[in-house]
Amino acid sequence: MLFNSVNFAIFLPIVFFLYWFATKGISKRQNILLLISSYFFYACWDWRFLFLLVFSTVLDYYTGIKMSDAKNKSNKKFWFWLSISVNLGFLGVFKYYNFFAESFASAIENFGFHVSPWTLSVILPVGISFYTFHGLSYVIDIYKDRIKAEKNFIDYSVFVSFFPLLVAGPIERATHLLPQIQTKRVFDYKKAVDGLRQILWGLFKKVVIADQCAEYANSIFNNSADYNGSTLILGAVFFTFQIYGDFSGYSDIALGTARLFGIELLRNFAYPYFSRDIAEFWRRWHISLSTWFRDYLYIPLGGSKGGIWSKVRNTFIIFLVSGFWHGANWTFIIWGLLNALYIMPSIIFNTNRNNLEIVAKGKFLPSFKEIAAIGLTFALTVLAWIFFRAENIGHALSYISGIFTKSLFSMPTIKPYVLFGLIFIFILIEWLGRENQYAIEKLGLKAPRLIKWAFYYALVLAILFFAGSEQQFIYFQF
Amino acid sequence: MKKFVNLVLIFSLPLVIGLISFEFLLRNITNDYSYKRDYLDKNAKEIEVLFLGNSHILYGINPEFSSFKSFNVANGSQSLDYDFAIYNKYKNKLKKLKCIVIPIDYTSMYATLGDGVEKWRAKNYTIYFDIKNQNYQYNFEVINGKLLKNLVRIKRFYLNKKSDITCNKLGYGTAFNSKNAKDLVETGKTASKNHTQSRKNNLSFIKNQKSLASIIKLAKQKNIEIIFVSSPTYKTYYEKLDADQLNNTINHIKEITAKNENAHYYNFLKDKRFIASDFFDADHLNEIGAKKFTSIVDSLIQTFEINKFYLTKK
Repeated sequence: MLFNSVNFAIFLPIVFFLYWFATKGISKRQNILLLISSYFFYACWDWRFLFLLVFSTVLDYYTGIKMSDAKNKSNKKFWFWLSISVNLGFLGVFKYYNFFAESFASAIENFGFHVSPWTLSVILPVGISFYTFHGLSYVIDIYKDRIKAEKNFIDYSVFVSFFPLLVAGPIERATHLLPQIQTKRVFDYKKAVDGLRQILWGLFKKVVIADQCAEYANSIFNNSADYNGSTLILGAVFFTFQIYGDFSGYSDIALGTARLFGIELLRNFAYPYFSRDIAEFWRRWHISLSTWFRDYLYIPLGGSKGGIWSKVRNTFIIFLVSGFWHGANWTFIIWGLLNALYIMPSIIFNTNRNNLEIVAKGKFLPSFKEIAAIGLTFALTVLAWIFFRAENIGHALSYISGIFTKSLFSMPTIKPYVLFGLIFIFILIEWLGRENQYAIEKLGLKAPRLIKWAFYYALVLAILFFAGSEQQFIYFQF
Repeated sequence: MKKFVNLVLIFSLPLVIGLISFEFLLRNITNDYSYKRDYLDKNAKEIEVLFLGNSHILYGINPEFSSFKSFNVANGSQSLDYDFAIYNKYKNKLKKLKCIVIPIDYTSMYATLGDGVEKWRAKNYTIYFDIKNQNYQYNFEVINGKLLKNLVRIKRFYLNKKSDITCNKLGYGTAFNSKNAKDLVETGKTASKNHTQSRKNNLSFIKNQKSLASIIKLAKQKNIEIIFVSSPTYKTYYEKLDADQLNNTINHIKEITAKNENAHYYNFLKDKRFIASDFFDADHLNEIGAKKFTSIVDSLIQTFEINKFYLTKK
């Protein structure tokens, strides 16, 4: 079930009313309802993979308790590694097996041997990378004695499967979400209205920005050999806005939906395209994944302790793993590597924490220096996204070489003026709201209701105007 | 909570009223589907030859040039499951039916309307042909089309008094004509690419196999001949097709027609009688090509009719 589908528009109000009315505010009943709804939500995509989700949940729940109850360290270690290896094993089989088998076969072919690898013809279970990472963080936190194992199976299952975050995050932590599931939730009018507002903004980003950009980005990337350099740049810029609108739009809908049920999820995006360097970009893009890698990979590897070289090594490792997390394709690995290279100067010269606050905080306009820094960071990001979007490395390289030709200085063959206008309005709204959780959180809140509602109706009409075909969210495939 | 519910209801009310009115207005616009349904409802009992299928038949067969009382009920991207559903719906009304013509083209076995980018068209069958669809979303016009396109349709119908009908009285599509023909090289390249399945979809193949078997079985019960045709295309299209996809399709239809006496297959895909001026684009005929193709298919049907006549006499 997609967030931008009619099915979800029917599903959400039903669950909402049952949650607040039929359960009479009893949290135990609310959690059972959330679990059933979440499993239904997941089963709408493919019910067969529901068993995998349930198995993963039972495994982590059980190993969590076993680790908590373990009388000695080796026993605890056993249950920990059992959970880690089964979780990563599933991820490996469903997501990476074919990639390794095919890569191995082509590597062997370079030595003159021919092998026909046995490949799996299975589809990737939607959200597997996300719920596996939920489970992993939970067992690691128990192993490291940061949290106690959850004894209530329903509560734990809701933590893993809560439908707003089930298929594309944010990647939650037990320390943040479980206490909210365990406590009594009381309906909060302001929170609920805020949730609706965030859903509306998320839908706008997805349907109006991402899906419209997708039309042109797909056409340019799929026929890249036919376009001149300037059009190829335009295609890459459209994809840059597509992936942002798509994923941050999804996250906004997820956060807004959770808020309707009185639950706060982790923030996933904080205006990444206004970043002044790559380190800032990574603090603002897919925050729940970046912090996951920081806490469960970068720091255990030694983090920034141990000198400059270990810092460099650890940074490369997390970016490579992050690239690989996105998918079993060399394009994602190169994308990760490229970002690691981008961030290196700030790691080496220790400037990676120079820009912690949002740009031009408290001001209306940024300085020229800030504009230049934002422009450079954006350009580097656009270049990296080409690898992310391309079918394979060859495609990415030919796309980039197609850009740097004489035709770069000719007019683009595609000129979607309406989309240019939409992107301009979008950037403007994001800029005006950049100091808030999401762009329209406080935009015009003090204005008379008539003006406020006219703005919301304009967003709704824009969504209806540009809707027409449900587009899959990009991050569903990861 | 009450305040919140009221707020949502008040905010949504104009939108809901707007959407319902919009749906009502859209459904009353006459279009190819409603026209073809009305025609079949009134004239099914007279029809001798029924042309089903996708845009290749819609723009490739003009029943005006057929010697039989025939009707073209093909529509853009109509897949075999919908061909079967339409035939099944009118099977008892088609009392004089002698022959059905169905295209088996490059995409026929590997795509179904419900799975591809054209799935929005499925609403036309649910709304106008009353063919049930498991997905309730295909019961509505308003959620299966772009708002701007729908606004244009409403303006054209209610203000300019122009319908959405783009076919002649016998169902032949008139939009693809020689006056607005497209570049054959360019369209050959894009169409062949779009029609090639990057990953062969076995589920669609199995689904289409079943639809084919159902059509043949039903026709057999009614003693009706079925002619499967691969429609003519231009070399800029057929030279770029994936050999596996094409061969699997042709081999399957050859196999199935060999097993069923009432089913016949003719391959016009690379037919040299069709030249550049017969095409609207690399995989669709224009009105000149359609006249030629209709005559060829018509003579085939006549042959069957003559053979049948003598066989009956004997």
